[in-house]
Amino acid sequence: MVHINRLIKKYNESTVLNINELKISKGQVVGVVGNNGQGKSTLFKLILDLILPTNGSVLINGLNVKQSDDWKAYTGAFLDQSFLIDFLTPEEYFDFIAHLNKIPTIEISKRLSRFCLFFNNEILGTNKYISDFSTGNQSKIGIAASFLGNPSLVILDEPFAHLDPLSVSFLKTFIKEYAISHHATFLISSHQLDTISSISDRIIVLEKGKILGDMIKDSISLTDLYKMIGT
Amino acid sequence: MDIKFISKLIKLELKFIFRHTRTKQVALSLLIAQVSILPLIVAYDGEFSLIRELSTASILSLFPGLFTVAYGQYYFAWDAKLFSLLCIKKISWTDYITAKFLFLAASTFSYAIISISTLVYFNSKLLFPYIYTILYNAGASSVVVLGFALFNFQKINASAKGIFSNYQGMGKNQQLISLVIVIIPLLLCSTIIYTQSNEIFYSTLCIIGICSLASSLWWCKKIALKLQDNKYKLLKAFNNY
Repeated sequence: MVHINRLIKKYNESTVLNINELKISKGQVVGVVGNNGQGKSTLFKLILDLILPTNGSVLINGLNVKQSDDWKAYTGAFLDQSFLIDFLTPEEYFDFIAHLNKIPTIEISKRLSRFCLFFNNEILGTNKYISDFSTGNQSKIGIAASFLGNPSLVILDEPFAHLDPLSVSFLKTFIKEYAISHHATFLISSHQLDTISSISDRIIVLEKGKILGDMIKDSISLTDLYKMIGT
Repeated sequence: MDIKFISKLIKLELKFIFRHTRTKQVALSLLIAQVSILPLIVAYDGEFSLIRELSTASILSLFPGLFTVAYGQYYFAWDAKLFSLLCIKKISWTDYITAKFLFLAASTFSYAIISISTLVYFNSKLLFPYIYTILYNAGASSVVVLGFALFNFQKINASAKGIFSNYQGMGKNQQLISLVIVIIPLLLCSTIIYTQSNEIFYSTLCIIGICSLASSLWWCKKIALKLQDNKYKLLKAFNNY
């Protein structure tokens, strides 16, 4: 589903990402781990065509993300707070996202009902602007919005950061079930190794922009993973 | 053209203005400034006097587009909160720019609707010149401002207070945009000196305005293409990507 080919990103003379080849199959849940500044977010931004690669290409379903817009119709993502429109209420935001995804208004509440437990009665009907919510609740809004279009490719950068244990547990279960029911591909980064390893089929370790390890989850223990990223 | 998407973006623009301190201050203070030209219009008696014609012509040609220049020049900086989201969605960028253009043109026409009844009541002789300057500002100024806004990579905080003491977002581009918007009508004003009549001035503004409005979709497509070229630069400038 995602094919990365000789992808290099340099800022001035410093190389922040250098991936020779990476293929991610449809339906795989891929965890991307690594310490801060190792290139995880850069990789996601390159996949989503938000930054220009110095060299190489990213193909989604065979289409170069730079040359085609078709991949956007089935891709959902939440990388950071810049994906939120913070002067809107959550309802207004979801309505806008639904329109971008060409989802009928009547369908919005049905799709959001999947997140009832996740929202914990703190998001909808509060009449607050997104900017007034806590970082954790803002993340919940962004994560839920990324699923609104029922995407078959979901990219989430540090989705578990800022979430309370109950919400982490909900999100883990939701991702597992969604991946099976929609045969969806996930790319998820996280510093919480136990969390990411419990939901991923495959784990990619990034260090200094390069792939240090790429393994099927069962072939590696959590202890080995901790050793690999040096924590 | 997705009319529903365009109307959603215009609605979003209104919410953006009225939910942020700086944009709200820009909108309200400019409305007050625009209304302040009314005494000048009332004082105009229609008989030819070079100084009065020049001052009326220059003020009439600039004031209806004040909001367009002051707000529109930061268009993509205001939209920083929306831009990365739109970049990962399958949208028509021409529709996006069309929404921006329509918003600026509509703001000029809204001001015209508010002020024109006062104008007609006190001095009907200025009705047609005024309509011509409205057309000029709605068409030409909106297109020029949108085009130049693409090259503004300065960050701006929409919630900051004090618009007259806050120069955040100001750069060479803003000075250039103001020069273009001011210089064209002022150059055209010189025709009043040479011909001792304001007819050429107002009819030229009217023709430029109508042509700009008629070709606005073409301009929107051109600006949308340029926007896609500048996409990475804008994302880097506004979201540190």
